[in-house]
Amino acid sequence: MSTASTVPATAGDVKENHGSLHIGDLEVNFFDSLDEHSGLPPIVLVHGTGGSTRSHFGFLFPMLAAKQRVVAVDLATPQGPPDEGQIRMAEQVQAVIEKVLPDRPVTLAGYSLGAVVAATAAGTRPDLVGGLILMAGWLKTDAQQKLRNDIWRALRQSDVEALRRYQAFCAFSAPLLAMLSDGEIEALVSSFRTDDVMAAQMEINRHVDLTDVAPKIACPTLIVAGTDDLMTPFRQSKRLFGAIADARYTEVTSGHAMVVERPAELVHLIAAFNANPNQYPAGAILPTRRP
Amino acid sequence: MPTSTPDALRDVSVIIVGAGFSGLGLGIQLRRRGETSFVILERADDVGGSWRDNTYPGVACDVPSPLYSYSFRTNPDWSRMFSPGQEIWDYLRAAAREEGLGPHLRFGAEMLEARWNENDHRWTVRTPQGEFYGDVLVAATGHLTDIKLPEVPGLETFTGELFHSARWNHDFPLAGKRIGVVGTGASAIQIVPQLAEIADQLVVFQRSAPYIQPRRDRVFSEAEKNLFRRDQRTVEEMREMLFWYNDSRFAARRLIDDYLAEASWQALSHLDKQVSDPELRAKLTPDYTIGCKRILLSDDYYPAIQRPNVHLEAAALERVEGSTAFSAVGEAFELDVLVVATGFETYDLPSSYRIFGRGGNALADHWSNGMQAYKSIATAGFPNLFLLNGPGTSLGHNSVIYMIEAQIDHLLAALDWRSAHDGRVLEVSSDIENAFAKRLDEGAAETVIIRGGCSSWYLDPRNGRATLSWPDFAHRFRDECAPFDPAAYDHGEQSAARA
Repeated sequence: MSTASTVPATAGDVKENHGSLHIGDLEVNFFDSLDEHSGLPPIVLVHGTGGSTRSHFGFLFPMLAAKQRVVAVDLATPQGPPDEGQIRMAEQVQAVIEKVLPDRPVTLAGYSLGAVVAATAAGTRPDLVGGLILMAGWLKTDAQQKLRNDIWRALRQSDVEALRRYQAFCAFSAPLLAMLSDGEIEALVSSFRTDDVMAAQMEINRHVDLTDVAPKIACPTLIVAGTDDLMTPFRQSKRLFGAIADARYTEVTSGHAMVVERPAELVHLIAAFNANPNQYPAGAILPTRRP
Repeated sequence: MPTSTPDALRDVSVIIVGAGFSGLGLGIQLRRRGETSFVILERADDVGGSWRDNTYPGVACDVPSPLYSYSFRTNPDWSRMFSPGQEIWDYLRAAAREEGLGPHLRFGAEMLEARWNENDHRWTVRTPQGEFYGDVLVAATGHLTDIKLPEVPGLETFTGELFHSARWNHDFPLAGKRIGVVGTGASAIQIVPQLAEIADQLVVFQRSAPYIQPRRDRVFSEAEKNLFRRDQRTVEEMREMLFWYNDSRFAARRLIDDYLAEASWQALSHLDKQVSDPELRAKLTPDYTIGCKRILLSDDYYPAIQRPNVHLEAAALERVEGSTAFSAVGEAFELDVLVVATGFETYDLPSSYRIFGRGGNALADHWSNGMQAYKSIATAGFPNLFLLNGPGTSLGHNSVIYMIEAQIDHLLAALDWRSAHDGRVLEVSSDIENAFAKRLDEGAAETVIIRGGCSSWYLDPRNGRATLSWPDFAHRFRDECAPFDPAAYDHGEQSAARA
């Protein structure tokens, strides 16, 4: 079912291998830091809507790879019915794990849509996943999220420049945006995608439903919510906290773009969970961090 | 030996040496827990450490004030993001006073010698105020305290006024004088803009150009300060934002391309914006990778360098003859004043020559291949000695106060453990210490401190090890080093009962 090629590449100091496999007509790319460093489980990263390993995990990938092996999947966007999107993407993650990290527990960490995909992957193949981290995820798309999705779709038709501004407005926390200069705001705005792939992923977002799969997640799970997240509001993360048996919960002071706003805090949370998933028991809300 | 005058704290559970951020922070935590059996020995006549000693014009910290303060004593009254040194000193003095440390402080009590007594398993510290005895010795002696003068032939023959930046002579009038500043580090770049205003001529001797980024300083308005007072959570939120932002800057220190490029761009675009003369710009462009030396923050250094009365000599001070200072490229300058801003003894600490552990071994001898300590706090052959802000704690990207607090947590847990275990002695083995040091060396080898192509005060020139540097995120230090694990320590002996 899959073929793979390996091309050496480098990102900073991380010696990183790039590979790919095929599922049907989809090509799935992944990156592998290779170096085990320690006896810690490898971490598998799954990016969010409109993202990639590079754009969402430019910080997390190399910094986590300093202490443990990291594999990151660049999701391919399936063409079929949008309500099957989450399972089609979960299959990609499962295929990469089976190919690159067979027969060993991995810690699967997803961000945004990647959290939905990771939860689906863990719920449908509990044997592949030893620990699960869901950053800015959600349980089932609600009316508030559909309303935002409607605006996104309408602006894509009518005013792409306004759409980019709207994306920046939704993705980052109000306190962060308030600190930026005009030039920095424009740089953020221009970084957003509005292409067909992005649009297809937004359709998948409309149809997310983890209600059935969440109870099947058996491994220790860490839920990370952004306090100021407009796209996947923290109450959605709390719904995951309620739905997943072995879950613990924490918040970072951030908007949806926590991989940009609080990357070092995410490294802390992911690394600490990977080293000891049961440091806090199921049902725990992590103590507030006061640096 | 001076005779000991009566002192209720002559014989205590914990002797703390040094009343800077580390020693006071520990003292505050002990007091808050209701501990009374501790004494803080301070060689000077006031608390405050570096912030007492550094009074040069323009002195300020290059870490934002909401972060450069205790997490357990936030301050709503900082005047600005980067508050002047005097405010930091006042903050520490108020903390010592209001937290009730007065009765525990002994001034003029320099640690002349500290010695582990093999018979009663306790420490004796000799000071000009007599001897003090303690179960536990805490070296909160810092590493930016003992001034370092450059080895320049003829410096002692200089006929003008000469002083170190941390020993400023405020009695000497500098206005209208011909002044030389030696060094372009964190102190010098704050001093130069101030002296440029008043000097007749100012010469800056630059051995190596520093990277300088915009300071982004600002005043806190009265409304903001009032909010900070009314809602303490707003101070904490700012502190948390600053902490995690600063911690993310470690990615550049670990040479991750995008973040390294961003850090370089922030510095070099600042230089381009502020300095238009290509020749001067070239002189001010560093020749190593950013972050190898401390990245400096200033908006007024480059403008000061371009004043008509200021000359940047892009060469070290090589020798002095009378009133003439010669640079390494042979330029001669007639000077009335030399301000030496060349930093401190960092890698070979004078205090380590005064601490004697098992078998009478000096800490300096134990550290002859570079200083090191298990979790940056404990070292083999020195039972019940704990180091604060010592080896492996310096950061180029975040606040050392955070590191100190993590160490205090480790130390408090160790003291609790001793209380629960009949006062048994805590000592790490060489194996555990060496294993920890090896991991730090391996970590440092991946960072710009080792790989950036410079020599900095984070490095021990005797062996090339980055013995001062914590080569990781600051948060990682808390994760790894704050927890106290009794299994890492040998603990056979017991301290004898106090007299």
